[in-house]
Amino acid sequence: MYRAQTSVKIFRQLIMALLVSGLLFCPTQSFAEEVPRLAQGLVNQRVDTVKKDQKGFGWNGGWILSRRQPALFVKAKQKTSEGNQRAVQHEALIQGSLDRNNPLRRELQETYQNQELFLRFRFRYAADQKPQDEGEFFVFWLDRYEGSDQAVHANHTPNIGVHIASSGPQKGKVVFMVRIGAQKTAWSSVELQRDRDYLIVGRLSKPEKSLRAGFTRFDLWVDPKPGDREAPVATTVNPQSVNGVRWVGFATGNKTELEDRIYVSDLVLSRTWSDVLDVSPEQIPTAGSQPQTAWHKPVHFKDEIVPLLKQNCFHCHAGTNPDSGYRLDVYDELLGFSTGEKLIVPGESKQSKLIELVSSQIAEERMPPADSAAALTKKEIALLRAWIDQGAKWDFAVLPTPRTESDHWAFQTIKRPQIPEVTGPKPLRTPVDAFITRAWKQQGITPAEEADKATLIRRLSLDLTGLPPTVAEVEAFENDRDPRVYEKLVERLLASKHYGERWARYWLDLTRWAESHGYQHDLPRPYAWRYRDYVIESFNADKPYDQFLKEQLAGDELTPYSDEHVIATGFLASARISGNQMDKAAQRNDVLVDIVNVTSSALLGLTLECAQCHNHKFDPLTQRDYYRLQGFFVNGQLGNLSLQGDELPNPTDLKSWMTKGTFDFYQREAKKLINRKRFAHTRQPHTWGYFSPLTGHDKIERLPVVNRDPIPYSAERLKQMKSQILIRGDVHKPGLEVGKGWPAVLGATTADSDQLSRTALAEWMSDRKNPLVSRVWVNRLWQYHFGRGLVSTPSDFGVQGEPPSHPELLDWLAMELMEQGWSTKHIHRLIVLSSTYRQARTFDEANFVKDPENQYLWSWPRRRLEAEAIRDSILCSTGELKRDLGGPSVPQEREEEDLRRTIYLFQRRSEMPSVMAMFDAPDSIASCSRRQVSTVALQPLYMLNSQFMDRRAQVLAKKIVEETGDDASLQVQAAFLRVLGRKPNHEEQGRSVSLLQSGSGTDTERQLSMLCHALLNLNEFVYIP
Amino acid sequence: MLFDANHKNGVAFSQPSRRLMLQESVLGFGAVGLMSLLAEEGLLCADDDTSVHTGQSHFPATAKNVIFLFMSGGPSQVDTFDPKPLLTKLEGQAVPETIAARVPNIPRAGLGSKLMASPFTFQKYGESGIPVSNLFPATAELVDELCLLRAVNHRVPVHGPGECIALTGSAVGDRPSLGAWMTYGLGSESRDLPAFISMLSNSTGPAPQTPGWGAGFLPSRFQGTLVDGKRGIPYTKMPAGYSQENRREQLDFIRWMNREHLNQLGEDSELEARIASYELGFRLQTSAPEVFDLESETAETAKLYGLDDRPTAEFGRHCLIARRLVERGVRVVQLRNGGWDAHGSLKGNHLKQARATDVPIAGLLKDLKHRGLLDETLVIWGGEFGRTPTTEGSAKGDRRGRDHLPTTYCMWMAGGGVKGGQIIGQTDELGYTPVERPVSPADLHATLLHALGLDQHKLFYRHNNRKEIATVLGGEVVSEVFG
Repeated sequence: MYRAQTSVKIFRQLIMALLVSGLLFCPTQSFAEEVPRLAQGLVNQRVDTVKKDQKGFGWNGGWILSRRQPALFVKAKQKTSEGNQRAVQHEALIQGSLDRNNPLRRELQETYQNQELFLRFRFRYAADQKPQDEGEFFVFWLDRYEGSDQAVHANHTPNIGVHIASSGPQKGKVVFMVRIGAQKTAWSSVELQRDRDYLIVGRLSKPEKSLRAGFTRFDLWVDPKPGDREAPVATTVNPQSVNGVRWVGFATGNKTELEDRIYVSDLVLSRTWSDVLDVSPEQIPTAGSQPQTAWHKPVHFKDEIVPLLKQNCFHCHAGTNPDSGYRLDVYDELLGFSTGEKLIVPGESKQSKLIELVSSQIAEERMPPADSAAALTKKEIALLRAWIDQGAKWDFAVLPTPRTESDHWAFQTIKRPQIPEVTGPKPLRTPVDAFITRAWKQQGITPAEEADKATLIRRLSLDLTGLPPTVAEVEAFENDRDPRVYEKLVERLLASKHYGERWARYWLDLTRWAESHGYQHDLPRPYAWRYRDYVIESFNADKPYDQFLKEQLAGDELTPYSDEHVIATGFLASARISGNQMDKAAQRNDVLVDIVNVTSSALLGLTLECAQCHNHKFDPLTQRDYYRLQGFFVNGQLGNLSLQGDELPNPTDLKSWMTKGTFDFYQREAKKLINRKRFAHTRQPHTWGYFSPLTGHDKIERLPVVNRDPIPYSAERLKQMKSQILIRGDVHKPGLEVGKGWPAVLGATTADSDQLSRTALAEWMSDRKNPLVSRVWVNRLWQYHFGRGLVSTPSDFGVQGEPPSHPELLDWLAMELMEQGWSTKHIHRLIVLSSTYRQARTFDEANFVKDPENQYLWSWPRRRLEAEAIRDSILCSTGELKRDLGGPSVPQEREEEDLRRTIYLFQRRSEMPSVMAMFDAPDSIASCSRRQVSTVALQPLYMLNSQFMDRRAQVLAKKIVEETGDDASLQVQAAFLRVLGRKPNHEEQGRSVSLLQSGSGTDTERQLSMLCHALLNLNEFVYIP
Repeated sequence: MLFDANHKNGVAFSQPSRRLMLQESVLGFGAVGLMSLLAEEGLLCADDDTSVHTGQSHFPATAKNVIFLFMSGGPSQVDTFDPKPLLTKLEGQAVPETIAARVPNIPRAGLGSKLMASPFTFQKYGESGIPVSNLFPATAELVDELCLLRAVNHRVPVHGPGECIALTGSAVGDRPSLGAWMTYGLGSESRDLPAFISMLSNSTGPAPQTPGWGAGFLPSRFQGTLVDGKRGIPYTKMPAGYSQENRREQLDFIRWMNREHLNQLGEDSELEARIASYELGFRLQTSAPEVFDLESETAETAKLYGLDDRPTAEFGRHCLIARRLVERGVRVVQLRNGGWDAHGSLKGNHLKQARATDVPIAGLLKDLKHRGLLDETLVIWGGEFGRTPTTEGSAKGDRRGRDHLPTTYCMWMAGGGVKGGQIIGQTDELGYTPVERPVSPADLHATLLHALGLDQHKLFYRHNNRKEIATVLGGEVVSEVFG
């Protein structure tokens, strides 16, 4: 690389001597850290071009010249700008190379990363030989890197200079501009004149004082006066920019022609405005004396401010749910009530974001937006300033603070609707039928016939227990002539312990439960299975839903103490925890966010997650609501929680319930923590739960956790935690403190935050006036029975959600739930005992035309079994299913040793059992309210070729042979009965027998296993009939 | 049910077209099915009115297929494609302040450790004279085909999130992989094979990140199919005792039973799709083993990929399969090779890693070229990050290694319209940070999509009412790549 200094070797020694002596004479304190001037150059050729380490100037070495087209140092015209103490002796002459070129560049001694950097240089563009050319390009850049001669310092890099405007009113003219990347160019209205000396000043600034923050804003002045500090001629903002400046340089582009002559000199980099202008700080006019319109008389809000806001702002920033997310017609909102972000500070217009926005020089940032309205006049801005400075007085009679309310159906309290008095084609077996029949009549729909008994027992068994009926059960049901035979069956199935295993799985989907932390390391949570068992037992016991919620939201608080309640907090504790998040505030916040999102979507049916960063776009939910709800959870943390364990099994052989790889990994990580004294193995009974040292029960001891880098636990710290709005969701930008509470649109929070516990939250949820909790739950139950809810967006009851197909039925069921002791099984009965539920699956063209999506239920909406039910049904058909309830999980790699229901397979998030991954089980990252049903070719391959399936088919064949001997037709009958729960018809019989006998020479049991295997693959088998 | 589980995306199609789509795209194959879905959903359209016709990309593509050679663990840039003579000079010394000052404040940058010279030597190759270390003598011969990116960078110094950034554009792991986006955008040209296939070799080191080939919030049919290089597509091998005839009879029986069942119930697109999936599954089962059975390849080809040599056999096999897959119209093949995480004994580690991959990669490039496939197949090589120019910890001699360094690392691209024999980006004198043309993973992804004719801003998917794009917040196409 050609360095300028090599050409002046002769002077080196002399210069070095001079420098050393210069240093000796310079008082060292003037080089202390905070001298305003960082560097100066292009003043004196000798000093500028010779490598030296003169600290005051802050350069690391001299100018580096391009090899392609270096700058030339020429004597300056003897016309230096007035007031410049340091006479400029030389200028650098820069000419084009018809290509990108960096004729001059230089490195600072230290990377500059403070909040503000000022720069200036003098600049003259000599008159062109040719008057008309393609436009000009010349910039000064500031970057982290030097780059080569031809490097492009444009990508997210600050540039200041002249360029031909590509947009805006100056389009096509050569103007001064500033940019951080070509996409973010701000064109000034100052047009370049030839042969004129300019003083270009720039300010590069960061939004916050942080070494890491980028220099996201770049302001430009041309020939500024000391008082112009707040009035740059152009400003650009780009959130992606360099965060430090090490190298600066000038660059020309292919528009810069060979003949162009650009003279630059007197480059200064500085920390302050005064220094960059070579004036003393006292010479800078203070803000008060700035040439702004003074406002002596009191501003009248109603007559002056309201019309101004109305005309310019209210179009987008007023009324409920403005698209913009900000409203200016409510006093509290100006103070950041719902977003945490203050728009005005009464008495302090200079600190008011509103003023910053309306007076911004940045087109993209300024309000009102450039494409919709003209900018406010200086007078209007001054008026606004004055209003704020005078205390921002508000007239609540003119602009009152609205009550948060909504007429959206789902936010209204529930009233019990009348059961319609209708007669219909079908018997009205439960009130459900009355509502459904009325809709049929309104829609002109003819419902399907009642399904036959074999179908009904299969449907009920699969639907309520997730297991098909046995041959004997089918026979008994078909032969039972008791008129209440169906009701008896429903009662038997609801009382079955397998009912809980089936319905718990839906709940676990909602709670994104798994037995590991998630994220990269995904270490196991060895005792998370206790919560799975808690859910199963709760369903089996028909625990009142309000109680069920209370235990899960506040189990650690409830008195008297009970182990069961501590285990129930596994609901909150199913959140994922990163194992390598070094930002501990973010690591903790991610968990809180997870908890709030799942609580609001699973229990309230609200998409509150949007409000983590901004007010909800559609629903009357604010960021304030979000962080007030989060307030209930900020004092607690997830972890292993001690149990008293009097009536609990306490297996400690972790190895037996995880895959070997998972267990070994767990042991290794545990060992590392043990070495750091952050973990100890324990045989004390414990569970994976959530505990607040502030409100939780004293008996509960929080035990350490195995994770790569766990969230630190400190009871004292947790007790002190407060809920604050995070501005734009940024964990490092806490805004207003907001206390605890529920979304305002759902009713005022009844008590002070200090008195509110999670128990209070749970009680609010189960209050009769709560419009959502009961509706959301009965709708889910409906969906799990019919495949689609009365509201088809089961976790979005907001404005954007689907309206209910049968609104009164939904409300009636919700009332029933609340008034019948929150009994889930009561709702099941109302549904499955209905005629609606007992319809056959048929296709009817006329109905289809009227209701192609079958939302009025004119036919049984058959649906595929979930992954778990497919595997469980298979194990049932082969008679291998082990029916024990609860306890630690089974690792998939050892499933053959312990063929239990799929809900008991160990569920590490990154290692889900293959049948679950294959058939659309959720990934346990977010709450899943409804599973997808995908049909991909790997599914049949799994069902036909996996070892698991082949084994099942062989076991089944063996059992059938043991039972029936080698009579092919008996074998076929037995296979149909066991797999499909029915006998084959004549043709099926024939085809099956011929399939059995087609095998040439293979043994008959193998041939039978192929038939069994085929049956296990049928649509008839994997769909609820 | 008669409605689509994915109705949030606003799907509302007529029954016949829906049925057609299900049949066509059960496997995630067939741009036809996809495009009709997209056209109806308006998903491929930007806000303006330039709607995209079925089966067309946004602008002419330079590549039809992509083979991603993902070197997991983080190959060291200063030991592979970015020689730093100053590193040799300053061996054992501290990082000079001038360079250290530029390194962003991220953990594990190793600034407190001593510089470590590369144990490898560099030599210039080809007409372009691009230097390559002696780790890759075979690949080096093809350097004129390579477009070397020397300043790829991000800020995540951890494997899992790093791998997620490299392959999904975000460290969180909840977004679709780039391969899934490509499949979503273009479908597959193969009717018998999945559009996106992922293979894992050398399982040492950090565990593979499933989001790397996952579908994220895209419909699951766009996810990469994870394939065992030895056994091929999972579950394509029939259980013992089955012959093709057995299976055919069994399938005929299943189909007949399913048809009878369907006839009783009347029209039902979901059940029909499931019936169709058995036929497609059978095609997959029939054609897949052929793809993974390398018997039909000549001894010469086998040798070209290093199949005859134990260290190169595994990765060579994967590379050869990759060629066979793209030949058969598979859109994206992702070969993840683990083991590059050289915290200790970098010399031995990289020698072993390079030994296992160099010949296969060179073989792949040569073979693609020989068959005229390189023009339409874009091959890309690289890891989730690079390694520190300093040694890690206090190990001595050959036991020294390097820590993770995301602030700059090398990747290369070849074929598929890429202009070879060029270097894009430069790093400082020690290889710590970029000094010219830094490229972010989003820029890289935008570039790869561009090569396939996809505009990153036009290819979107509505998720939770947000228009999501593959490059998350958008990247910048590195247009120099295409010359």
